[in-house]
Amino acid sequence: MATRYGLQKWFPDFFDRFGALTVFDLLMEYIKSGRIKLDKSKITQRVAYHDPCNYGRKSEELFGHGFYEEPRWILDQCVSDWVDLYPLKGNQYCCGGGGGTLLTPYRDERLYYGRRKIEQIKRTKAEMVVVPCHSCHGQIKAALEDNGMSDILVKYLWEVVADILIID
Amino acid sequence: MGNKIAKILVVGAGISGIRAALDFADIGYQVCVVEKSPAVGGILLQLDRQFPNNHCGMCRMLPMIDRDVCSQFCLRRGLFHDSISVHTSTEVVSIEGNPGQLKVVLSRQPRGVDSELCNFCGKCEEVCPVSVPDTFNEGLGERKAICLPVPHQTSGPYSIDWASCTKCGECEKACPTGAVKLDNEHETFDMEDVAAVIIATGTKLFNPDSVDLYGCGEFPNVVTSTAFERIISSSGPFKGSLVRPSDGREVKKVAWLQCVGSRNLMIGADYCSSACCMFAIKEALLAREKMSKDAETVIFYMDMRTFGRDFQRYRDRAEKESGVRFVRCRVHSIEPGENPDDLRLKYVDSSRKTVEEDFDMIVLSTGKEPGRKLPDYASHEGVFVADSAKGLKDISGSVIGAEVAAGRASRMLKNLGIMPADKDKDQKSAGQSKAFEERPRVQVVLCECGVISDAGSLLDGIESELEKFPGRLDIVRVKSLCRKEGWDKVKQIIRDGSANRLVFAACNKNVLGPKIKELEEDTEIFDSIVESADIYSGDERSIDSLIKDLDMAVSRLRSRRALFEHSQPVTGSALVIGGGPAGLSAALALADHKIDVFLVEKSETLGGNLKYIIDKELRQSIEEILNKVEGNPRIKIHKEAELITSSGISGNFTSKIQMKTGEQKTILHGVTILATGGTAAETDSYSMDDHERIVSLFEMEKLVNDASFSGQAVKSIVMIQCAGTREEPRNYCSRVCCIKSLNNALKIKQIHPDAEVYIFYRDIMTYGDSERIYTEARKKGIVFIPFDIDTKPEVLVESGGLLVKGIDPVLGVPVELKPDWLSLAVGVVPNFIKDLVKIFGIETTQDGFIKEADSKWRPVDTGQEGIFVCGLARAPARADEAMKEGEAAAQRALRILSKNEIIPQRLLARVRHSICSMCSLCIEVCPFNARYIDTAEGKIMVDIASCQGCGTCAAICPNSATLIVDFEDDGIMNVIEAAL
Amino acid sequence: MDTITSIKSSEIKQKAPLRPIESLTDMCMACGTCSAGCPLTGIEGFDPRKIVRMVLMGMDKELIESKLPWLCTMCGKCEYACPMGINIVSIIRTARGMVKRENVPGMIHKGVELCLKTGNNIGLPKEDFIFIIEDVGEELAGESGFSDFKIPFDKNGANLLHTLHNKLVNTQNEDLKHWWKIFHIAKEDWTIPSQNWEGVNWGLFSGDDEAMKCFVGRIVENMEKLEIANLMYPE
Repeated sequence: MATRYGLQKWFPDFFDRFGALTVFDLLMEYIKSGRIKLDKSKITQRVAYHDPCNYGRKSEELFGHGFYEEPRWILDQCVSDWVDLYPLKGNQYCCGGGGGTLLTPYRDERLYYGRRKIEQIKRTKAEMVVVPCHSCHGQIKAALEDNGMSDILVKYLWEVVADILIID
Repeated sequence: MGNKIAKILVVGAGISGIRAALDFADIGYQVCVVEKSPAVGGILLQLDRQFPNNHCGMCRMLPMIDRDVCSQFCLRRGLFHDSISVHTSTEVVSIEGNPGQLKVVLSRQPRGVDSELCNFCGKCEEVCPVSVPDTFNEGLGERKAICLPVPHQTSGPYSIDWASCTKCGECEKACPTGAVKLDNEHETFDMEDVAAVIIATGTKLFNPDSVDLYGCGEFPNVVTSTAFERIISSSGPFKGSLVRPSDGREVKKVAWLQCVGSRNLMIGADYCSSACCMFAIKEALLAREKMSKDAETVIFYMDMRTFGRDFQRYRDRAEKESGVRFVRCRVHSIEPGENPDDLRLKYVDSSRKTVEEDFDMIVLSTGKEPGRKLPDYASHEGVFVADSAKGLKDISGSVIGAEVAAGRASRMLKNLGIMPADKDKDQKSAGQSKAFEERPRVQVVLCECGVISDAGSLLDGIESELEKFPGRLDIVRVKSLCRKEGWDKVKQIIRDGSANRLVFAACNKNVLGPKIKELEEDTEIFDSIVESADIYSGDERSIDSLIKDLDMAVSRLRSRRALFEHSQPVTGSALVIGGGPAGLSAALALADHKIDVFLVEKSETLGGNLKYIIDKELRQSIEEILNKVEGNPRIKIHKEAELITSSGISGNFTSKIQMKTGEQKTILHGVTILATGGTAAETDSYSMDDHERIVSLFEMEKLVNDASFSGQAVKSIVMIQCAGTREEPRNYCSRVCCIKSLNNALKIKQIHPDAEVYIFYRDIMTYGDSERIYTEARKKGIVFIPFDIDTKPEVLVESGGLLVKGIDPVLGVPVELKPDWLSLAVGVVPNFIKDLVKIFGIETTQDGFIKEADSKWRPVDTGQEGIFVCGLARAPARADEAMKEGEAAAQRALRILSKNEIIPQRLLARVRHSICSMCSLCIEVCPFNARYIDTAEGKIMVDIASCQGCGTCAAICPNSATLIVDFEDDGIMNVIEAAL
Repeated sequence: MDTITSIKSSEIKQKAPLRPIESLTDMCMACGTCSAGCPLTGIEGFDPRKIVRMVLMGMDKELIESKLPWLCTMCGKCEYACPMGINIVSIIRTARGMVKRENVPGMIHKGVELCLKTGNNIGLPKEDFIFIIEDVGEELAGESGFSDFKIPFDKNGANLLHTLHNKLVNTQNEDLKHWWKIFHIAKEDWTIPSQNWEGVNWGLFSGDDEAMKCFVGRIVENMEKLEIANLMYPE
């Protein structure tokens, strides 16, 4: 998000000279074109998907498109039982790890902030949370641990894809 | 068409459309109403009960003088008026031509069911295989693709919802009368020679489905305010019990979220929808009636816009007496609660604490849909737009707006020389049918039906019983009364025979109703000499019970007598008291209708509060009217004159005025319009009198608009709203202060951009489009500091300067300001009119405003027919609103003034003077003030213009001196006997 | 906070970029939508409405000197529902940018400084970086199906530029492998730059536009230098 925003702001001609792809664009292109094949049967747990602010709400405002459907399509290819956390998409709750808060000393505040996400995850009874964002990954993991829920896995969206790659 | 009666087209059959249509019909025009939906009634069809008395009251729009030309029953069940034709499922495509001769192209969606043939048996609905969410109930519950569009409107036929119909043909097969026609084509037709068009298409409400914040679709217990009305309606999906749509559980905790779709720049809604605040309070109160004592009702709001005369007290009662909780916080979004189907709201309370609360149900107070524009033809010459088509209006606002549009159209027509029907020639009254002067000769028409196969044997049975009835009865059988052939036969029988009373034994009354109306034109038979009995609908009934119905019908007809009452002549002139904006506009509206007007003004100049109005545009518009009034030969202006006596009844008043010189003058007039106005209130709050720089907002207005203001050094100005108002004893919003203060503040910023302007307020009352002024004021950097009645700012006069101390509730930090000026929003009060109140015997509110007959449905009528009220005399209003009220009052007055005489209607009270003891009990109880003592004759009289035949007088009269025509004792006894 | 006696002019208000609707803090109706939506409202005096109000009143100093701007995650949920479209997130970022750099809490500004100096937020020298990455690459090559896996450093004319999050290089090496596996199986023509490989731009968090621009510029530079066709957005 920061890079794309920076490119638009300070290097607008970048887009005439180069292509730029999000993680979703790449994964979808690999799956759709058949460049990678996935074994959906490998993940049997219930998976919850968390919308990161940056790919959703912020992208929607800054770039006119929020990445809501793309990760969900990818999850459809990977997992048979995945659920949403409500509220979701544009109105989702931040995990509490945005804005660089993982780098500040205000750990307690950050974990308190994360309680909303924990409540949401609890409600779904999911055993794994999937995120497409490094900050969300770190924060949700920490918040789960803090709440004694470290048995719930936290995985990157591409990690899920990598885990179920069919290797000939 | 052949007939020369000028025709008016009204587009939209909601409150405004019905009001405008009835207005035109009342003054003699033919009216055609087109309505896009399949039913007449608009939003009111879905709303059972209204603020302030939590009743409906729509029937109060029905004609009160020419009652016989209009069905006198619930308007939510349909509009039936001799001069009004209604086309449902019809829309305007285009309008062209000149006013007076407009050509309108209309497009009609077929109903799929022939209204002439449908007998409401409901078989089509039973067999229809398509179930869809019930649109009438806002998607709660289901209905079929063929249905009655409005369940309680049994007068319109069934109708097909083409969007969901699969054209499977089951209904067509099941229909016993062949009324269902699936191959109906969409049709376009022209209407020529339309004199004028009124656009009363209303306002569409915001659809919150697309906003993910509210979880519509996700949470079944989140409903719109309209859906909530359906939930608590006894005709709704839950038969009126307040339960959750998700699981039918009793609702114990419910919240309203205000401003859904309003006051939101992000969706282009820079307006307040005006009606939702009061609507929510009303709903909360209705909910409390249905809920257990410990139940909770909470309204989340930004500003509670209680800007009407009685609104603040209603709100306070809701809070203090009924326990409705008000929370000042706009809620971000709705989330799932602890228990399944519960809903959670998070908010910040007045002490800045975060609160999480679970609710059973959440109601979204949806306002006007943003971005909706009127069609191009709305600006065509000869087309008039009612206010409610421009923005959301409450009921009284819709009614007044419709009156104004109708009034302006009829003024234009008058100017073009287009006249309604001849006043007297066409005035027919059922009360005066010759038939009543003759001995009753009853003709019974038995319908042989065309559908029911064994009708013959039933009729044989009936006929043999009828023959046993005493007195002469002519009996005849006709096949298929519901069809044209059958009906033509009936007309023939009437023309050939000598009967002067008719009884139909047929099916559903709604099928015959419109046809019976036709008889009047073709055979001069009035519907009041016709009775009908339903022998076919419903479950199988015994011949005995059918005969009882017929016997009752015959008894009723035989006991009907001629009316004794005579017409009352009408004096075709008007008295307008008060020469302010409201009075001026009323006077001019009447004069433009070629009515003579006596305009009586207490002071030496006309214009009223015009002298305080600074806004250029507004000034100009008032001055323009003032000049027209002064130059109009029909308006006799009496300045420095006061009314000293007035007597008489609607249509005929005699009043005396006294000039300053002591000279007295007698005026004869048919109506009185009270426009006595109001003035700035006085207050001693906030040290008003302690410093010359503490001024009222009106003085502030003068100050900032004075040329010298730019030369003043102005660094800081503070304004405090609701100074001495919206709390007892003056517990009402004056409606004008917020807008005026904001305009003053903007003016200050314009002249002194660096000056700081602070406005302490309780609720900013920029209703409707004036919300833009509030938006603009904030944009310009004016600081708004809210306060509660318990946390009022303090004003101190210290060493010559001013100090205002308050608290910023957002930051929780004290605010101390030393302004150059302090402006107080003191509000307005009505002018003192105790004498007039006494002279006219009208009622006032505790604050001295003149009470209207009904604050919603008859906002400019007083309880006394023929006396009207407008402007500040009635309620706080902006000058432009007061002027509209003046026009509306004029329009109401025209109902009376457009007649040469008031003709007695069939249903009236009469007094048998010989046994009347003059105890006057009837005068006290009459809800229409229709009774008075004629001192010259020494009799109690009935004003036939006011009497509605309700019967209250007959009930209270200790010696049966009062009778209601058609309900006299002997007749009623006969009917009862027949029923037993 | 002291008694308010006058509104002051606010630098934050002037500097903070507006949202598309171009609504200043002045437009705030104090309706409470933002406060109601923010999970942090009420914690340590945090409340988005209060922050907007402080800017409206010109209390820049109080805001900048507090830790409020750093508690915010800049998630934008407040803005999402704000009926006036007020630029709350920009206000936070602008306020952060106006904090004296030595007072920026935690790692954010230190990381920015390191990155400016070394090309990554953890100040890892190039040789150490190559060592770590190759080590993880070799580990992956040991897994079945990836025996021919090699890290493509600085591959000229590659199709895809892959930047890395410093935390994966630093401590969470295992998580580096996911994308590499995918690239390998998809037969992607990709490359990792050995210089300026940092994928995360902490200039966004510290409110430092200059640094932010510099880091984005380095990515452009790598693209140009290595003549790469497509950039894979780092975050």
